[in-house]
Amino acid sequence: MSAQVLSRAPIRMRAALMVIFAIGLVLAARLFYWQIVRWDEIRQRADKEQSVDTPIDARRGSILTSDGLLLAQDSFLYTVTVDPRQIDKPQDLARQLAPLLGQSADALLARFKTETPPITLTKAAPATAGEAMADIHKQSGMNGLVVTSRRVRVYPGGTFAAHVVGFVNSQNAPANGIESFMSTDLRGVDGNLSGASDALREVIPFDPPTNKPAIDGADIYLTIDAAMQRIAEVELANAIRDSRAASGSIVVLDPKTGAILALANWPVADLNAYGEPGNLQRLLDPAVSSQYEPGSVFKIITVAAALDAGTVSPGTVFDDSGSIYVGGSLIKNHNDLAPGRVDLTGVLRLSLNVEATKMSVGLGAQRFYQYVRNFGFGARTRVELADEAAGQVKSVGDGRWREADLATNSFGQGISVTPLQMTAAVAAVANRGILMRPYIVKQIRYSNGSVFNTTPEVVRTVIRPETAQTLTRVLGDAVIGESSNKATVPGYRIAGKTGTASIPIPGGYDPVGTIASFIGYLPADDPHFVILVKLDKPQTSEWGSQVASPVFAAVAKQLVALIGLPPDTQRLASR
Amino acid sequence: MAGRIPKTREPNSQLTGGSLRTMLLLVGLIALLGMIYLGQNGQATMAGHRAQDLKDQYDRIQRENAQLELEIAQLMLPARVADRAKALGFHPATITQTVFMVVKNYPVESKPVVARPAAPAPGSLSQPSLWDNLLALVGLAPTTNTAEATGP
Repeated sequence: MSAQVLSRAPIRMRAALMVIFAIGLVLAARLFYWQIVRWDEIRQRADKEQSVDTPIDARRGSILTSDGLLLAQDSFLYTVTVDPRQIDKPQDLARQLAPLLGQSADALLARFKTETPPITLTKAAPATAGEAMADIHKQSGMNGLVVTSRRVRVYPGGTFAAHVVGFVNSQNAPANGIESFMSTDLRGVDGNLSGASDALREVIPFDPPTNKPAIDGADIYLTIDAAMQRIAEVELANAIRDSRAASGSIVVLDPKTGAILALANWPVADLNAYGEPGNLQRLLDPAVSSQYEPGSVFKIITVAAALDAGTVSPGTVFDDSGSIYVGGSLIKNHNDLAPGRVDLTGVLRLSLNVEATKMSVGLGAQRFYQYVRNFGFGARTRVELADEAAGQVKSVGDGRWREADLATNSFGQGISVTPLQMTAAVAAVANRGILMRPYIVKQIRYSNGSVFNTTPEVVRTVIRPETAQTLTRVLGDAVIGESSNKATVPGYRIAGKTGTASIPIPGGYDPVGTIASFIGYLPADDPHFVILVKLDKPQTSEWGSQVASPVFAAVAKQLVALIGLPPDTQRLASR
Repeated sequence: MAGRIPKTREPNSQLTGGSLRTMLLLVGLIALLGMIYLGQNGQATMAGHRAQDLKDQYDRIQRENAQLELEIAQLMLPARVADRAKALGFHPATITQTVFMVVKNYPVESKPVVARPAAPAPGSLSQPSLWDNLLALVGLAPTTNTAEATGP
């Protein structure tokens, strides 16, 4: 309608048109407000009401031994509740559920009648039974039967290799061991399913949903050998019982690669019951996270340093008067021993503190501590286990170091190490002076099919091969020469050292308790195993030679039988 | 313009045959498209339901499989195996009970030894030919080689 026509139109019509125009303007303004100004908010509300976004949990990877024994895996447990008021034929339902729940139908019916609904029949039905009950629910359409599932972490071995494995708690938070250290690889990446939803808030299959699939976590194979782990655990439990020790550890390492073949600690707890009182403490891994003063086993390191530096040799004759003053402190041999003239084998056989002191003093603090650090003490080994401690090695000029420390450190007092550090360091001697990084993850199998294999890693050469060879011979002679030492394995030459360490307490050392240990390797000429046995506060004897050495022998005998390693005479004859 | 009767347009009350066919064709086409659309929708929905069912089935089998793996792991635990073996009268072999056979100069990590067929000694292993047999029948057999086979 042109302006001319409008001007000729009656006034009422013009008024009506103006009103309509005004209404249109208001509507347009409101439309602009809702569609443009508040578009984001309205769109979000609509999406929220009309679509659903369901998370898809990634499966957490499994943990297995090197030989494929399952140690940890995700599983599902089912909770079944019943409201008998909404069940038409409770007898039929009871009859169907009874075999799946492992209860009698009569017992179930009695519960239906006596208990207040909703009645929880089980909270931990396994998958086969749970899925069967879910089928009953689906087929019958009974509203009174509710079956729900939840993902749980299960440890079929219970206490087996518990400190190595670690656990995942009910909040899905990993703790300790592999579960914690390798959690990034184990947990995978959650996915989600988004799409238009129906009235039941489920994705409508017609509308193509946006599916971001979950990426399952990787399966981790350990270097732990199930049979060797079993041997270590059984022998440690026996040793704790026989010696009435408070706690203890056994570590078995392959010196050529650094692979941890067995790692056992006592006390231990069932991983499936981590929440029970005291179990969290029992599940901490002292072999990597606890520090202790190693005592005389550390003389292996001192002698290695002195031999390598050339300050002593196998032919050196020592004159031991039984005591020496260093930095104003009196250093004495155990039991006030004063043997007089001894050779290097004698020094190790009699475990003479005074001669170890002379060696560290002869090396000088700088050189001695350089060797100690080269052997890996004072730094984490970088093993794939959570909460690893670094140990404590004092340094000249760090404010804590005193001259007397040079003496006490030489025989393993005033210095803190972890059992794994100690084992790895002695493994370097067994491995011709080459320190390997101890490792426990053998292989990672990712869900996309790719496989990562751990390659043994050389940390550094700590002593010359000739030094390692000489020390091995001396250690072997010392074990043979010590009549009270029970570490011998008939048919196999072993190299090793006992340790009986005082335990530091506030203000000094525990006057009664000791840490008794033995560390050794066999066969001495071609070591397959380095074994550390450590017992804390044994009651039957305080000496490592009495309580730890027999455990070493018991473990070593079984290990050589397990792998079918012939005795030295036959093995060397076949070369 | 007087006397001229204005020509009025007659309403087109009847559709011509061509228009009707066109209209019917259009309606049919729209109906066909609708049916195709609905059919495809139905198929897609069915496929979606089927896919969801299969997914549920897959999840269920995975869950049951995980449970079976756990049961197997429990049965394979070294402690259980040792107890079972003990109950059956077995005991761990000690190294002193193990008999080792010493094989001197055993070729460790060498290539697998493949048995080669022995080279036949000249004349000793060959079968007589038909011609030889015929000659033998008429008394003209060649001289038999009696030399023993010797190894290489």
